[in-house]
Amino acid sequence: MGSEQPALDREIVGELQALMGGDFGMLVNTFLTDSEQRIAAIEAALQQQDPEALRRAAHSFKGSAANLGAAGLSELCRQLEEYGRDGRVDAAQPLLPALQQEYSRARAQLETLLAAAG
Amino acid sequence: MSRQKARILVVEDSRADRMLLTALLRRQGYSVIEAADGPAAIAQFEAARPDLVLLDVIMPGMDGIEVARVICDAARRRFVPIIFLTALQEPAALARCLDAGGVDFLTKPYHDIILKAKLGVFLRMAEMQRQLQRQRDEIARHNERLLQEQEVAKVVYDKVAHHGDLDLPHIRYLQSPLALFNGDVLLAARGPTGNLLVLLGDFTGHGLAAAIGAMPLAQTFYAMAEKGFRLRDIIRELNLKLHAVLPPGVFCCATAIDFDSNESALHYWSGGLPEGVMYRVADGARLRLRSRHLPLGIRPPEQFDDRCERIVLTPGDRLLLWSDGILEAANAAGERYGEARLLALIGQEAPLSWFDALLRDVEAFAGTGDRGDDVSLLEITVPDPRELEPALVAAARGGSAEPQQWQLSFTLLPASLRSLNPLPLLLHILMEVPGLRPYSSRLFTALSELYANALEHGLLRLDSSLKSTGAGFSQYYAERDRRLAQLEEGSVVLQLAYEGDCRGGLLEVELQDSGAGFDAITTRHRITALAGSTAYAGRGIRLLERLGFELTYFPPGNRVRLRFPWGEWPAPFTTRTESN
Amino acid sequence: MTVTASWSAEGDELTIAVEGRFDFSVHQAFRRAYEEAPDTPRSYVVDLARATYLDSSALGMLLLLRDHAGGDNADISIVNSNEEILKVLTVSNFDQLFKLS
Repeated sequence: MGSEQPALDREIVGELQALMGGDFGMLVNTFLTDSEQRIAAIEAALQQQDPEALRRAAHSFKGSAANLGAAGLSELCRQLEEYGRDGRVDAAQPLLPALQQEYSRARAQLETLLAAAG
Repeated sequence: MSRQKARILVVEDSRADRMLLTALLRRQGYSVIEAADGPAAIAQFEAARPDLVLLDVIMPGMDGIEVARVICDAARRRFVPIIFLTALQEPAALARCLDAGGVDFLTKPYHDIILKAKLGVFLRMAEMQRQLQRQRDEIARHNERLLQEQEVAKVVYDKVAHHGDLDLPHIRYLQSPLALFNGDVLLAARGPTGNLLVLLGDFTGHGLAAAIGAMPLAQTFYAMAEKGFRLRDIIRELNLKLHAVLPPGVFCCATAIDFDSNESALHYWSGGLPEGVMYRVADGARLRLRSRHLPLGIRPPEQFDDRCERIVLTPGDRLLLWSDGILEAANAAGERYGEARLLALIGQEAPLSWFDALLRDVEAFAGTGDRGDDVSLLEITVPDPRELEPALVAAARGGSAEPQQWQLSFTLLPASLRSLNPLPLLLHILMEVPGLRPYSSRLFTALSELYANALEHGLLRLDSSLKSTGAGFSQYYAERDRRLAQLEEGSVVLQLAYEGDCRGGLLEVELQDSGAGFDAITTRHRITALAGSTAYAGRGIRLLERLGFELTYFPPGNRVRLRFPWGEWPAPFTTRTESN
Repeated sequence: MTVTASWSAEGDELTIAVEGRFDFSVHQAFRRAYEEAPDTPRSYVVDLARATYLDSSALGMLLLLRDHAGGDNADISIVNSNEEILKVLTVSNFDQLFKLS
């Protein structure tokens, strides 16, 4: 897994840092807080077999992840959103561990960046 | 640049995305207002009046599409572009966004350059829309003001150019309310001799510019008609006024007619107006009133041709005049009604029904739609002269109870004889006596007759037998003008003497010309006249006797005295003639 | 163009041709035709061969041309008028101001 692509697009993250300046930390923390809420919402939707809730949570997560340059995370959300739209909650189930893992990678990278920025 | 200061409302429930987008927009120089959900967005839209809205589609509670609908309603005529923020891909969902009032989409991740380009386009579009709106509002305001001004102008115009005596029973006319703004003018006035003056005019152009010339025209027309001026004098003055007032290229096509019930003839002057038609009872002929002159206002006074045509009348003769509005009524195919159709109709129809038949025919041709705005149509039936008399008796019973007693002598020398018509002035003086006002018409007739005799026969030595034929009549007046222009010596002395009070009085008028008198010059004609023969030349004097004047001629025939007692005045009078 | 101006070969006569309706809608073009002429012609010709109709504002425009061309000294011919146009011109007695044919 370590040999895979990085969880974050360095170029996009660099642009974000430049754009946000001193507010970059706040942006990252907000993203992380929201993301954990969305993952929890996706877990709940899978448990409750609620395709619409799945679709909505995945859709929002997809957009935010894309904005932060987390392409892999955004792609997993896109697949979940599609299953939700198609009412195939069962088919979505196996993607959850991958989503959690990809999120952890992205979070680790973001936290490293923040630590480096001091 | 105003675009850089544009206010953008960002509606996005995801905090991180909102933060990011706000930062992007601020860096591009926009001012940003944020809303985290639909209700907040609507409240901010009303409060902050943004120039553009970036709106997330999927939000908890009220979604973006609903918000867009409410915002579009609230914006009303203001154009505020809404760009949806979405990662949606399905065409149906995108179509719903456009239906709800969106103009475009932005997908995540946001791209600085694309964001900048899209906002630039739509803010420019909104600015153009606002400009258009401003222009439209301005035009609407202008138009409203114009209509208001026209209304004011119409009120003023109606006071100045009132329809005068158009309501007489033998006149029928139609003038559409907006005809004024097509430059049409219709005037009628009775002069003090009981003559009727009518003018139909059509100024070039449309709108206020065309209407404006109507005011001096009407004012001059009514003022002169009331003072007893005749057609030639009036038309010359109208041309002079309009030539002075109107810019080059603006003029007034007109036909003016003077109906003279004493002379049983009409005189007309016509320049540029469609040639009217007259039906003559005597021989059933349909005559055209020929337009022989340039319209009013074109020629400078010294080049103006004021010559009039004369047509002998019989009661029942009928006359129809129109302006070109009626000829220009167009049907659906754009074809105009035109003079040929009008003349064909008049040729077929009985004169009694010309007026109605013409209106019916034009309406049938053009439909009601097109005709309404632009019609001036005038019909006059020549009345029996006896029907015209009564209006006189009604007036002035009141007035000063103070007795009056005065005399006036007025001598006209060649320069004035050539150019001045003294009668309106003298009549004006006589009308200062309230008791005489009801008799203004017959007094004016009397003064005109006597003055014409003194001038034309006494001084100019014209032979009145010439006037017995139509052609001779014109010849007579041509000769009169020629001799008058060459008059170098001689005089006419007019004396007025009046005494009376509010119950009655006596007016004496004496005229003396410096000529040799009729004994020596035109004896034959004067005597036939006085003997009451049917010769044309005698009509004037017999008319005066019929009107209740007492006439005395003094030898050698160059001095005449007229006495006119009215009301309860002691001396009874008789009509007699003394030639010696 | 509904109004066209052209010069004679000798360069002393300006012909202004009006096409279609000769009314207020062409007044700008008609005025430009003689006001923007580079030279002052000795005479003018108004060619109405292709004009279908003429109204009183056109009469006004002709008077303005006459004014421009020297008023009483103007030499202006109005040619090729159709019957209806000629009728309007003669009823207005414009033969006293222009050469009509």
